[in-house]
Amino acid sequence: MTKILSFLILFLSFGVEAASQNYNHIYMTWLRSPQTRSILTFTSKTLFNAPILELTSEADEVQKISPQNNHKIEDTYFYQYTLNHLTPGTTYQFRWHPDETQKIFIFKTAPKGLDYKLLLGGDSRSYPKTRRKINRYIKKLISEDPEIVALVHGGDFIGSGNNWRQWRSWLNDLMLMYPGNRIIPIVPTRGNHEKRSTYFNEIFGIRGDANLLKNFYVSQFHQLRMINLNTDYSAAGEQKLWLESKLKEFQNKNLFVIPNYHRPAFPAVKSPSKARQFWVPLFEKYGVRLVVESDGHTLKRTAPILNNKINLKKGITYIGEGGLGVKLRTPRASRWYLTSPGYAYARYHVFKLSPKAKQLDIKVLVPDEGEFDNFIINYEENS
Amino acid sequence: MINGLIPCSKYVPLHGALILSIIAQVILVFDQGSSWNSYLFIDWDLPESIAIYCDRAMALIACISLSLYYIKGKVAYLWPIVFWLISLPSILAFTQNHFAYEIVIFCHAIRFIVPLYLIFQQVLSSQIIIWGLAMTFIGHGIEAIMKHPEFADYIFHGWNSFLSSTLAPTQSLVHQILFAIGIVDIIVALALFTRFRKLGLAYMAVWGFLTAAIRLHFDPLLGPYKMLLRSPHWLIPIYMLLLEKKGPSSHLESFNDKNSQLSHTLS
Repeated sequence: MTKILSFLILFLSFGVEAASQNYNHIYMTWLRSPQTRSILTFTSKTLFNAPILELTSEADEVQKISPQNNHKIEDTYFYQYTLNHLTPGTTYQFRWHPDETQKIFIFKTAPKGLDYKLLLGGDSRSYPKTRRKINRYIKKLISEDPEIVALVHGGDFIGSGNNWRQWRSWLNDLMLMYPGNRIIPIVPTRGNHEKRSTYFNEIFGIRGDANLLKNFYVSQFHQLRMINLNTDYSAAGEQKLWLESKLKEFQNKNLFVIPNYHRPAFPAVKSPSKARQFWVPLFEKYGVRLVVESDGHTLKRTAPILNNKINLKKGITYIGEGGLGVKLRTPRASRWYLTSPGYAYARYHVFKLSPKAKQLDIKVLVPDEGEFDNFIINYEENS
Repeated sequence: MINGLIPCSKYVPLHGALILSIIAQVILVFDQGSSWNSYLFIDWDLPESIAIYCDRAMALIACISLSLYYIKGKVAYLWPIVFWLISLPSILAFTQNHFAYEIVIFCHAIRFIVPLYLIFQQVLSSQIIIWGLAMTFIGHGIEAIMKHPEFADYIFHGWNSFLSSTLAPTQSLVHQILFAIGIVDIIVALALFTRFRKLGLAYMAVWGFLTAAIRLHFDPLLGPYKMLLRSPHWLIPIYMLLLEKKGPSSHLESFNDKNSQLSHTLS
C-alpha cells in the first residue's frame, strides 16, 4: 500500500513538473513606434525548434507568429517576436506555444489619444533587494492606474553590461513589475554601466538601422516624442546632427518633446556630462521644456534653466537622476540650479508623466512616501 | 632640500610630472571622487560618508607621502603613491567601469611607473620608463582604434574651435582619424625600442601635451586638473629626451650615479 502511494505521489509530482512553464522571462521592448510595433521576448533554457506565439485582440483573429530573432546568451535562449501593424490603444492577448501551462498574457499598445501615462526612472543596478522593492511598488502603481503604459528606463540596468548573471537577475526582477498577467513594456536607454556591451541590444531585441543600433532613437507617443540619446556614444558628431534634425522636425508641431539620456547635463551629484556642452544649446534653441536624466543615484528636479540661468518662464526643467534600486547618494543640493523650485534628495523614486492637452503633469512617486511632488510643465507658452 | 633633490635641470620634467599629476589627482578626488569612492560605496556597500573619507584619506596619504619624500628624501615614502596610482585603474578594470576597462591599466602605466622608477633607481634602468611610455601610448592607441567616444568628441570640438566651425567632419571621418591616431600611437610606442627612439619621444612630448591640453579647452571647469593629471604623458618624454642628449648608452650610468649620490646626500 505504501509503495502504491509513493508511486502515485511520484507520478503526480512528475505530472506537475511536466506542466510547468517553459520560459524563464517574458518582456516587451518599445522602441520607435509603441502604438503599432512591439518586440516581445521569451527566454528559456530549452532550445525549441519552432516556438509559436499566438496573438489576438478583441477585433482580430488569432495570429500565429514565429520568432524573427533567436539567439543565445550563455545558457539561455532568446526567442524574439517583432509584432508589427498593431492597433494603437488596444489590449492584446497572447500565449506562447511551448509553454505547457498555456498561460495567457496581455499587453496594451500606446493609444492614439492622451489617455496614457509613462513611468520614468533609471539606475536599477547592483542592489537587487531594493530593486525588487521598487518593482513591486511600480506594480502597485500600475494596478492602481491602468493608464500607465510603459516604463522609460534611463540606463544602468545592471552593474556590468557584459555580465549575463546580472542581466538575468534584472529580468527576474522585472517580472515582479507586472500586475497579474499584464506585461509592461520597457523603453530602454543605454547607461554607462551598459557601456560597449552587446548584450544590451541583444536582450532588448534592438536591430535595424545604424542609429537604432547606436541607441539613439525617438519613441513616438501620441503628441509626445521621447528622444532617447546615448551618452556613451560620441555626443558632438552624428548624434548631435541627428538630435538637431529631430528637434527641428518636431518644432512648432504642438508636441511634447522630451530628451532622455543617462549622464546628466545638470547633475545633482557628479560633474556635467558632454550633454551640457553639445546638446543643451540645441534643447534651448528648439524650445524643449523637459529633459530626463539619470546616473546620480538621487532624486532631482532642477529649476527651469535657460542660458545657464534660472528662467521660470522659458527655462528647461531637468528631472530624474536614477533611483530604481541602486544605492542612493547624497546630492549636492546647494548647486544653483537645484534651488527652489528645484530640489535634490536621496530618495528612491519613479516619475509619472501624464500628457494633457497643453500641459505635462509630472508626479514624483516615492516608495513608502507616496506622492512626493507634483508639478506641471506648461506648453502653451511655446505655441 | 628640494633644490638638493633636483640637482640638475634635466630632472625637472621627471619630478614635475610626478608632483603635478599627484596634485591634480588629489584635487580631482576631493572634487569628484575616484574609482575607490564608487567601489567602496557600491561594491563594498560602505556608507557614503565612509567611502568618501577613505577615498580622500588615500589621496591625502599620497600627498603627505610625496611631501615627505621631498623633505626627508627617502624613496620609501613613494610606496603609498605607487600603490594608490596602481589601485585607481585596477578598480576601474575590476569593476569594468571604464570604456576600455580591459586595457585601462596600460593607459595609466606611466603615472605609477614614475614613482616606481624613483624607488628602484639603483636597480632599474630608465628602460622601465620607456616601457611605461610605450604601454601608455599603446593603451591610448587601442582606445582610439576602439573609437573612444570622448576622443571622437575632442576631434569634433577641436575641429570646430581651431579649424572650421562651418565645415564639420563626419562621424566616419572622425573614426578614421581616430584609427590613424591609434595606429600612429602604437607605432611610436614600438619605435621607442628601436633606433628611432628620439623621434618617438619627440612625438610623444608634442602629442602628449596636445592631448592633455585639449582637456583645458574642452572642459573649462575640471580641464586644468585633467590636463595636469596627464603631465607625465609629455613631461616624461621630455625628460627622456634630455637624458638621451648624453647618448643612450651613457645616460643610465650617469643618471643612476647622480641619483644614488643624491640619495646618499639626503639620507
